[in-house]
Amino acid sequence: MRIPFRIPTAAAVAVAALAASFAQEAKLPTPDAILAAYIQATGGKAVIEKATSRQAKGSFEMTAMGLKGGFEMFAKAPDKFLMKMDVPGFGPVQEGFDGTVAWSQNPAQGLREKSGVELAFTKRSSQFYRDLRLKELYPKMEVKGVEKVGEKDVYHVEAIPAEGGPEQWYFDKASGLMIRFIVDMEGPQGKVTITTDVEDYKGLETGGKIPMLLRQKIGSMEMHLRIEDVKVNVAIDEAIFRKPAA
Amino acid sequence: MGRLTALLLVAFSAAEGQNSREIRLQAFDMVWRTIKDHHYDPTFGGVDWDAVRRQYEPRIEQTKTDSELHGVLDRMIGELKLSHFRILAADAILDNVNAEPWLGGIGADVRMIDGEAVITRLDSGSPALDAGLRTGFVIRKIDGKTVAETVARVARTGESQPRQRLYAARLIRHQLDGESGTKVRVEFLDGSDGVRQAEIGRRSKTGELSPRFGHLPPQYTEFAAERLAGGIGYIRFNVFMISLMDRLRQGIRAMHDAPGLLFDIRGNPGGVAAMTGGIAGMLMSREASLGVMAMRSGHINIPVFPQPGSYAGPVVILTDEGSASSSEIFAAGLQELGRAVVVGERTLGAALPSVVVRLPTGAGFQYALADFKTPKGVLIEGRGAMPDQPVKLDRKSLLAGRDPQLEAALEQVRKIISSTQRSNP
Repeated sequence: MRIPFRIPTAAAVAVAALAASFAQEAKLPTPDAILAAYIQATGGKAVIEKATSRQAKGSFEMTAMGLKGGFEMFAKAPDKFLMKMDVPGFGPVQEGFDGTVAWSQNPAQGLREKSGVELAFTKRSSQFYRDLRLKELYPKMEVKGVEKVGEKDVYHVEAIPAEGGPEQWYFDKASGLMIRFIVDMEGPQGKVTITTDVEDYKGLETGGKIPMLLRQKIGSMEMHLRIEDVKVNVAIDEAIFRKPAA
Repeated sequence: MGRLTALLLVAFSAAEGQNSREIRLQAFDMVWRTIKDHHYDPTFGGVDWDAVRRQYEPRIEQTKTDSELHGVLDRMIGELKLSHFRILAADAILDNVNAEPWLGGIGADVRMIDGEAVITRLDSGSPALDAGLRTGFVIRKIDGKTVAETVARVARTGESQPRQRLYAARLIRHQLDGESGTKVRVEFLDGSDGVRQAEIGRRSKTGELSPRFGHLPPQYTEFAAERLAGGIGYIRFNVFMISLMDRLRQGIRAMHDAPGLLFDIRGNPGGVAAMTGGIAGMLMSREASLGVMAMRSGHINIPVFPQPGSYAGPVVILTDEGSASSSEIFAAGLQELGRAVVVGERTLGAALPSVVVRLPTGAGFQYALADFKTPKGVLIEGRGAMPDQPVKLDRKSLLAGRDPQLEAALEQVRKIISSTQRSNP
């Protein structure tokens, strides 16, 4: 799972930038233009680079299964990440990356290290300045067209990483914000398509804008993650990102 | 996911009442549409699902009560002829098949053998043992209610014979259980078929309740690990619930020097499917998969990640027709991976991962998200896991104080040990 953290917002600037790049022609914008507008919409490069760490707390709910619980996320530049979920009746579920080793631990299956496509996906997702490096992380990008997500007109961008399958990104034409992404997750656990709707972008005190609600769908299953508190530039002990001892 | 269908009934009982026609129609539409949009098999196993709607919608219009509605819905989803599709309502026939688990009991396990409720296991020092009951004795009446009545009630479900035997045994065990400190009157046949009666005081069970896991209410959990003759390890657990996982890991690690290890999952109805891969990770030295759950789009494996302290010796798994869902995934998966020999009876054949959602009427609707196939692509649903060595449990052996399935399993362990010793002198 990926929760994009972005910084100060200048939605108006973003929209203007995007609009300017297409005003003279009716054809689709380039991926570069869409990504640039996205960066602007979430705060701009300079503000994004001011943050070096983040810590977030929130809650999740899987209505179909009657599950509710809490989660915590920690991220530190350049590429460290930890997510801890407390699933009532199941126990703690953790996913981490220390810059080299990607790992996962849960009460049922124990501790394991990720490899292959799964490791590559985790590396990309854990990049603290991921949005600023999208072109590098996804060497092939193509704007597939203008589509609808709900009532909104969106640009559909297909992004193909060096390792792994294509991802589908949807950027709101009006705001420039990414509002949906679809990823085919593949690994020892199988292959599933995860559709994530990204909603409720809010500005942070420290600047920038991040989505506070993610709705993930896997087939008929749906999980909502609500971020309730975010702290930027907090001191985080790097030891928490390391694979725990067995 | 999967399993324990009947255990969920209680969770959905309290919220039910009599609802309006509109609410009943909404419930119908939700059930039909969920299957239409999400059933893992887009061909619905050859069933014309649109025609099913046309057939059942007029019947729903005619229902006057929630009970009638739930009956019609059950028949509608029954058209799929699959496990893990059912309406979980307080008015269901099997409303107390293993309802909220009692924490008091008499320490006796019961299975249906040749149409009789036979005691198959007695806890040492249990009230049942103290009252003179022995394995092989037949329960006839519980607090004045005949076992025959219970069996007839279960027969009305129209379920398959193995499922009827399973549900009847669960109901009988539930009737024997109760609050600790209360008493139960039992009429039984002894070893000479003499009719005897006993009033037996219930004591606190030795197991524990698991925490609630989403819609899955707390389950009574039991775990036992011991050494049998020759130091062979024996592990028995009654349900796949996460609260047992630490004890399972510790139990397996403690068997590191055992010449063989035997898992007894007879009567285990399943539980959390991910646990099967976790336990297998304590028995494997390489990454593997116990099978695949195929959804309409994509698939989920039951991966096995080798864990530190895993057991390397021979493994035998004991199953019976009460071993269902996760038990079947565990047994069939390890069997096909060549890591375990399965001894006992064919398992139930009900291994579809499922979820439960609440209907507008307050009842629960359980539906399968995916099918399940073993590593070699064998569909377990409706078939079950086949034992390498089939062995039946019979009353005569039980009366003689023997457990022929356990004996055969031990013999299998010894055979594997001796063949390993021959090939590695």
